[in-house]
Amino acid sequence: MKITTEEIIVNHLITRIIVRTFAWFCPPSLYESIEGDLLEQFEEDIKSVGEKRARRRFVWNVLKFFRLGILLRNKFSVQLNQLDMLSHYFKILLRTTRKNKSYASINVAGLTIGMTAFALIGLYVLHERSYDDFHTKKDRIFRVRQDRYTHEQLTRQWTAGPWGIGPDLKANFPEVVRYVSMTRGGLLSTVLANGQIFFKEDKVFYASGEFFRLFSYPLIKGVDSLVLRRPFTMVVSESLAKRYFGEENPIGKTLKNNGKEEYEITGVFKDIPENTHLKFDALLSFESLLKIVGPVEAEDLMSSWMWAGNYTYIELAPSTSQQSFESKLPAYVEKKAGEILRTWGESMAFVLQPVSSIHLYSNHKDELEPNGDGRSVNFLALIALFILLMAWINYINIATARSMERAKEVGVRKVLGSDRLQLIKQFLLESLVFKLTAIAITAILVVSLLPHFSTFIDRKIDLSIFNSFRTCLMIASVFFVGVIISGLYPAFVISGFKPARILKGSFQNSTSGNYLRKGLVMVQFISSIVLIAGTLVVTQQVQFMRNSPLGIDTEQMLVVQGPHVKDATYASRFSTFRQSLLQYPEIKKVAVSTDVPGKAVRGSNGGIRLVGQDSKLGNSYRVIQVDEDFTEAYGMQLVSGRIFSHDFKEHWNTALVNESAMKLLGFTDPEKIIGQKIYVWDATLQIVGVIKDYHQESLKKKVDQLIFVCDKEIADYYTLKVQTSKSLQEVIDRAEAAYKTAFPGNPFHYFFLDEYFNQQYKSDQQFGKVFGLFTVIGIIIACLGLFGLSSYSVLQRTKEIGIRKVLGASVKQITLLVSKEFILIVLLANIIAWPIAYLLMDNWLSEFANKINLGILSFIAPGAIALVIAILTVSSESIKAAMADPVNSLKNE
Amino acid sequence: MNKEYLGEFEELVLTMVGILQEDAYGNAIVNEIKERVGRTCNLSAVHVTLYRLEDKGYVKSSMGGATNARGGRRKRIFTITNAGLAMLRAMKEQQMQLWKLIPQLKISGL
Repeated sequence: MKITTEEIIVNHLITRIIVRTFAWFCPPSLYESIEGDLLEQFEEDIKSVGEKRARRRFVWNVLKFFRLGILLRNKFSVQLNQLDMLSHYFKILLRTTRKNKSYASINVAGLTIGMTAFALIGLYVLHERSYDDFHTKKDRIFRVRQDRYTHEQLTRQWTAGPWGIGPDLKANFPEVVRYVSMTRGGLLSTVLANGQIFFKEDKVFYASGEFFRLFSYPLIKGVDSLVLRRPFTMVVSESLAKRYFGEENPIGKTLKNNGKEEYEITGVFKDIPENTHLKFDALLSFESLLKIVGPVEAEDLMSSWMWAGNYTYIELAPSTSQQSFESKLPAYVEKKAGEILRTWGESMAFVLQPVSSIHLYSNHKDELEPNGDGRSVNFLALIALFILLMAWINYINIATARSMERAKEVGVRKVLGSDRLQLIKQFLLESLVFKLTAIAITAILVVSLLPHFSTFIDRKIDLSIFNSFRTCLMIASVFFVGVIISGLYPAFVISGFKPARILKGSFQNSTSGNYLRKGLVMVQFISSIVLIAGTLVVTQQVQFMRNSPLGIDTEQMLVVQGPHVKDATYASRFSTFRQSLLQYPEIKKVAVSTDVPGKAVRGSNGGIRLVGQDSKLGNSYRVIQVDEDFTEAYGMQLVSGRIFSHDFKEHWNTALVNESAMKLLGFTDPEKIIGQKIYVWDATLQIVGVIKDYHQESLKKKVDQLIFVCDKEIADYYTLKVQTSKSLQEVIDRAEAAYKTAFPGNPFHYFFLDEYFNQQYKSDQQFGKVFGLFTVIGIIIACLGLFGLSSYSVLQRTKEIGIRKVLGASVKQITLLVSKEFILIVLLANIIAWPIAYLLMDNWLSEFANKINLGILSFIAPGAIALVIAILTVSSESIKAAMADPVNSLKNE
Repeated sequence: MNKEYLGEFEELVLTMVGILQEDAYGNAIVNEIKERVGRTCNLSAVHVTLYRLEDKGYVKSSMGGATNARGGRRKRIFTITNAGLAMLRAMKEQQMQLWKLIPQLKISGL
């Protein structure tokens, strides 16, 4: 009978689970009698009420036993016991730490440095990845890029383009929910004015009506679908409103744009966050632009697919994928413009760029701001992970190496009855305490270093990333997985010691463990050497780019931005300005141009060809409009022909080309091209001279094919060639005074050309700086690891060293003996690190059009540096061992 | 008077332990209460009360021998201690004293 009762319970799944669970929760001392009572009642119930109801009662009775009166009896007793052990563990931990202060601090320092570096770079990487992540429709918003092909070759990738694309796509494809057209309207900057209060504004765009419905920039005042509907309305940022109107309500007030049209403010938006590629302070309604250019021109622009500096964003319907929509576009482009493009030998393709990928993965013509570089961000993320890994390896190394000191303790514990699990628990707890300390210090360091780090890498990074629960979870899990894993290995090693051997005194760590530790240190040194090599190469490359001759003068060149507010009297005003400046002996030349060196020439045109050539043979060139003084002011070298001159009436009838343009036009002899005529923008120009190739942009880029056209109506940049040994401030003051009289109502803005030019190297320099920082951190961590390992090795060989000394070995011999194996590790690390460094740096350099050669020195030097640092680290321990009195090491057995 | 306070159910269980003598274990007490007082109580309640009484020192327990019944599980036999007996007696006396203070013979109301 009794078998059946038990079987009834065990065979029923739910009953079984409940009983098992209770058995787990119930204090063991009470369990037997309780279970007995339960079974007894069950047996009685089967007799009186039948099996089914009996089982129900039984389950109910068991469930009733889950009560505090039972469960607490359990927990209290066990917890008390553990608390005792816990406090004991802490006591031991405190004692060993106090005994080995240097070891403890090295350990915590290594971890802290590694984790801080990881956290800072992690924040940077997360920041870079967070760009445009806040748009609620980010998966459906795309920017339409236009790729232009000349003779089937990809020649230009425009992020901005025609006006007509947005409306066209919306009208022809039901998948396009809405579009936004955005343009600067031809000006890089503009002047807004509220009466006498005026400022130059760099981030003002014309934007079409659905802007605030497509993007998720929050409006504080105004309705998203209405603010940009009417012509001559505008939306401004909170801080811009404050700048012009103070505390007054800006709604309904007007601002004057470039001294011309008045715009009514219909909305105010919150200042644009840092992490978006699209930064703006004010938006003017697109309708205004249509009104300004007039109905005929507007109609023309809206239907044409000619480049007009317009950014197009579209929102796709939720059911449409990017690929399926993109696949429909070639047929549409062909239908609409295939024929006409072919007559110029061109073709075109639309490419959709997901809005959140623009910051890291788009680097084309007319980007709204210099974007980040996805490759170097990933590179940094990788390095950061490496550093963290090194810090953990270090911890493992030092902790295991130091286990020698704890061997006796472990032996005694085992003899007294500790099982392995308890020892693992003890050592895991110790590592947890170390790591939590390190994490706490890291947190403090990160918070206090973040502002400095932000300036260091020139990005506004804050802790707002931690507002997202997912990122927090990710960061926490990275830390804790590391803590557990790096704590487990030493715990397992230490708890695995054989008590009999330890207590007998013939204790030696396993050779396999030795190999592992040496391997780990080698990995650390490999990464250090690669990092040092990287730093050297990056610094050299940046130095090379900054110091190479550009082919033009950039020293002592003051560039003043031309006036935006201008009218028919511009020509005479400019003449006054020029004359008044040239009166000063310090100012040698004044030149006007649409572009200055330091940025790519904005004007670019396809279909340029020699007169008489078939239109299909046209190619695309960059066209820069200049006045007669430009080439001379910049000291450009003439290869053949002549430069522009005041002696000829030159205005859109002559052109200069650089050597690259000459080659693209099909000439090799610079004399032969003189006198040839070319078509540029519907004009026929005669080539009068060839200019030696110079670097318009950073040395990272190839030299473009440039065509210079003489144009006297441009007003973008005034270049002042200065020659003075005195301070330039005087010249600036004079230029400002002249500017203010000649162009009233325009703010005076200037920059020095050399600084402007060198800004192009900023991102590479920053990359170099961050790289350098990491290298230092990596080396520190590697040294800590090596230090730990060498002190361990010395400790293990104390007796051997003692005997050697007694038998007559000198300090030098012993130092060499101990250091030898570590030097070998570093040498081996060198051999492995070189090819890795070569491949990585070769890959990095491949982006540069002008680059240094990777010499053997770039690799030998890092190796030598690593070796010297390693020797210094190791010798401190080994010399100490070699100097020690052998009596001390030999007397105690 | 003893400072220790005994609840009504505790008193009942303690009394049953006293009555059942060598046979006082969880299930028997449940049955005894049902039989004598006509009150159904849950096994777990009785167990918890027994342990609490043990904490207070009014009963002590020991494991009985294994039998073939109840799946071979041993019983935990509770026996009343002298302190428990004294407590019971004190409570009974206290109740009697209080009982005497109630005016008897309320027949007029009938």
